[in-house]
Amino acid sequence: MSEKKELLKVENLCTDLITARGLYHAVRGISFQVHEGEILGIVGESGCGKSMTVKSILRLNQEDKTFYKGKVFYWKGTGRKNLLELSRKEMSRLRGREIAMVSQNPMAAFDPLYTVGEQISEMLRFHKGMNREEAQAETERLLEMVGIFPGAKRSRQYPHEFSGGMLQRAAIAMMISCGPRLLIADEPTTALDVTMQAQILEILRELKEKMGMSILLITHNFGVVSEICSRVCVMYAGQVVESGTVEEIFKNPVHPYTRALLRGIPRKGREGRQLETIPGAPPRLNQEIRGCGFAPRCPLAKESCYHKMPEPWEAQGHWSSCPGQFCQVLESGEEEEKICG
Amino acid sequence: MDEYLLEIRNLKKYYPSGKNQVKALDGVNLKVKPGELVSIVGESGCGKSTLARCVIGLETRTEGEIWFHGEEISSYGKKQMRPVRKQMQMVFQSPYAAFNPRQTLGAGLREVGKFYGMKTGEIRDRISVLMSYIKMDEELLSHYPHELSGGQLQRLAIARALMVKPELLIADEPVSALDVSVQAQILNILAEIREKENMAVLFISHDLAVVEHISDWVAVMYLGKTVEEGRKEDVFSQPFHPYTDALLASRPREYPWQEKSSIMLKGELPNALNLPEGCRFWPRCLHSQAGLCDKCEPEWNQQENGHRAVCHLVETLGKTERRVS
Amino acid sequence: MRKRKEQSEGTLWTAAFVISAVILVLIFAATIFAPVLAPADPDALDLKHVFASPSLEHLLGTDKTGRDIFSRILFGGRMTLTGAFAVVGISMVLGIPAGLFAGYYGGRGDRIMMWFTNVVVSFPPLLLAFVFVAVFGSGFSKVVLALGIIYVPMLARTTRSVVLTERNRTYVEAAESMGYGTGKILFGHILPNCMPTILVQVTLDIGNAILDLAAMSFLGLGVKPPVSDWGAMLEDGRVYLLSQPLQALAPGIVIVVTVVAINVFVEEIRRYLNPSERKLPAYKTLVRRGLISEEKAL
Repeated sequence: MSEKKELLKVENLCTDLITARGLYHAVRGISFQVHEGEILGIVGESGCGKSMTVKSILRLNQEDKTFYKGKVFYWKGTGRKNLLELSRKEMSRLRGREIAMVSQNPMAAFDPLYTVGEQISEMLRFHKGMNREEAQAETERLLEMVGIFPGAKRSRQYPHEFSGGMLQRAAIAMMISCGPRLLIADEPTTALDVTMQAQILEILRELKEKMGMSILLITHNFGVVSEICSRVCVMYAGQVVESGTVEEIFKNPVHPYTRALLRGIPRKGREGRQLETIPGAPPRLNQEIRGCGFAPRCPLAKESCYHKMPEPWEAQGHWSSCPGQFCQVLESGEEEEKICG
Repeated sequence: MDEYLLEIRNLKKYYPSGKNQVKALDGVNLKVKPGELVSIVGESGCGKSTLARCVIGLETRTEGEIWFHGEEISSYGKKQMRPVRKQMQMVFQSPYAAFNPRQTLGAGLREVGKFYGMKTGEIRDRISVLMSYIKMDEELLSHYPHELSGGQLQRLAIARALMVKPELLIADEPVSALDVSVQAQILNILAEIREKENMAVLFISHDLAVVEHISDWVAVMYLGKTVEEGRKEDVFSQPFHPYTDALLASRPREYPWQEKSSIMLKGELPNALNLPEGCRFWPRCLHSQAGLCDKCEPEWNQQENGHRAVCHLVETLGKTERRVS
Repeated sequence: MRKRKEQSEGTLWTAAFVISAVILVLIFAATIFAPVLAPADPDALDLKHVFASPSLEHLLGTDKTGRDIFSRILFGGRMTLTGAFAVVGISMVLGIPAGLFAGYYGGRGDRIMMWFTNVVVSFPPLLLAFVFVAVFGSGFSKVVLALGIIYVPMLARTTRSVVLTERNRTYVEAAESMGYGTGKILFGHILPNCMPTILVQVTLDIGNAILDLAAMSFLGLGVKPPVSDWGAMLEDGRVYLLSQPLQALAPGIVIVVTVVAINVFVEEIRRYLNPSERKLPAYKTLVRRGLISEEKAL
């Protein structure tokens, strides 16, 4: 895995925002990388800064009220560029052509006054310099690729004539129209039913496998992660607390937060039993957090956790900001067994 | 009659839409025993929320009967409904919006008690019991809704619904707006309260994992109609209806080393304005048989333990053909 | 003096808010305590000192019959301001319930009300007031009543539009599912949540009512001599605008200042109630106060 070429590398990224409620440290020093042709999942609960992270990568926050620190490298051609240092013009040239984003609300991607087809062709003509006929043909091909049939008829319809799931697929079609190398999908299936979710995930999987696209998938749903991601980062309070291959994280979660989250999910064979919950609430991001942000809710917290971050734990393809107790959850349904500590 | 707390018979709710009618509910039958947790699952737009709203009287049904405690309540007016509502309360999907933003949470809870004629002392005792159920500090009751988190508010919404000791709680997607860890809290609390208060719950959700976790009985809805119902174990381990089967198969896998989910449903929910002829599921069904499924509407096909489905093919589709998930 | 530790949240205490509030308090206090504050009897004629220039004895001079203008403004303000409050009071008593019911129930009642409102709103309010006065006769109380009724549709419409958004919120549905009566839901739950918007409209109406009342008195349809209000004083002074400008300017300026102060005051409150419009502290201030460290500022 590690031999794969890096496409995006985030190094110690911090994002501060000025809001009506004061200064928010929304992202507090996170690092991760996306390799070519992989799907990286970022999981976390609402307010953990996962959406803010991708907004920072694309610099979509209001510029005068946002302050970045750290580096976001993107490999283009032979060299790499720090996205945070690009001019606004260079940045906007990158968006759509190199990095595209699909958001939770597909309605937001479309202007209700134009047909879906017009908006996709517009992208193609603007970014790829196609003429009208070429763009229309390409639009129809893209729509049919994401399972919207018949493309010719559907492209002449307006966004309100599409259902939520269909519009999300059309949004994906629009976003991949210029052949970006990185697709950022921010909770793309949250508003959808399981049946539609399965279809969207299938599309994303195909994009990865057939077009070699890299995908950064933001979600709060571990099911989605286990379905299509190859690696995953777990975020808490603006930081990555654990990252690794999907198998590792599910089989052997190390960080107490990841462990608690995974055991809070209703699972087969454990029906009717108490689910594990996490006491307390996440820290407010408008305050400085000293030590480990999870310490006040952590069953394993020691005195020292409140003052400084514990020593990170590392193994092949697996990293955790806290060594936890090296416990192991055995496969589904069975009681877990503590191997040590 | 008294075996069931709630019995819905052939309930229909049509909304006018131009010259046509949207058939949001088109003949729903459902029974809830006292103390039982019945879940209704289905894709959005299948009418499950409309069903809940008809039962509690937020919508008036077009046709059909709703029997509650041996009374037919579907035609009751606001005044007649009042004693019924004391035994039937509701929890909504969005905890943030469910409270009056200009009222403290405690005032909201006390208002319910006062409205149903509880004395001040009774109200105080009841609130402290409820707060211990939902594991929250009574101090939080002096706060306004925007000061609390979604999970805290949803727990308080449950407490508010339980003020008057209802026998039936209708929960409309109570955990779908919440995070995983908070969802776990709510599910634990619901399970615990149900036991302590011996209360029946009509639980509406599109999340199959949640439904499998807490239900006794499951009803699957498709386009305004229940297509399958049965004990949770039966429905989840051996679905009769191809739709249920497809729903179960499309769940994302629990662990990355399991087999990946399969898509057995193409397309989307058809428009409820023009329903297909025959079985309403046939255009999306993998097993539909021409001349049968697209011509005549199937009847309930009952099997053991009350497990039944509306499908022509329950018998013909061998158990081997079906993917048991 | 040490600087009070400012909150990083937006503040209500902007300069505009403080100044407008101080002006309003002064104006209200001055008119309420007019009998104590007024240096002279506002109706006492003094034909020896007509059109006197401002002096210590007559702060703003005297008018054509030698009455003290300053005292007349203080007493006139009582008429104008009570009139304006009465106009708004009438419109609230009728308009808010009408808007509540129309918005909550919808249907035919709502359609009739909206139709009626559209008709009334499309006429200039003064024209309607003329019609009213023509039918029922002139006089201060009748003008107040007329304006009050004319203000009803506008307020009802505002109320209705807020109710329409509020009634679809889940807390209303929750109240309905509890079995609460309509009155309890409307006045106990929906109305309090509509109040911020309604209050803004009401306060703006006060400013408008002052202007409309002045206009009616200016046209001689409002107060009857010797009683006076700001509008009537404006009318009295109009004839001498070129030779004795203060005659008209003094009441005119008072009207303008009052109305502007009310509008600014309301605007500031509205801004405060809407968090997205709150004035935010500048980034530099945050750095200075140590809320952000310098090096993070890139």
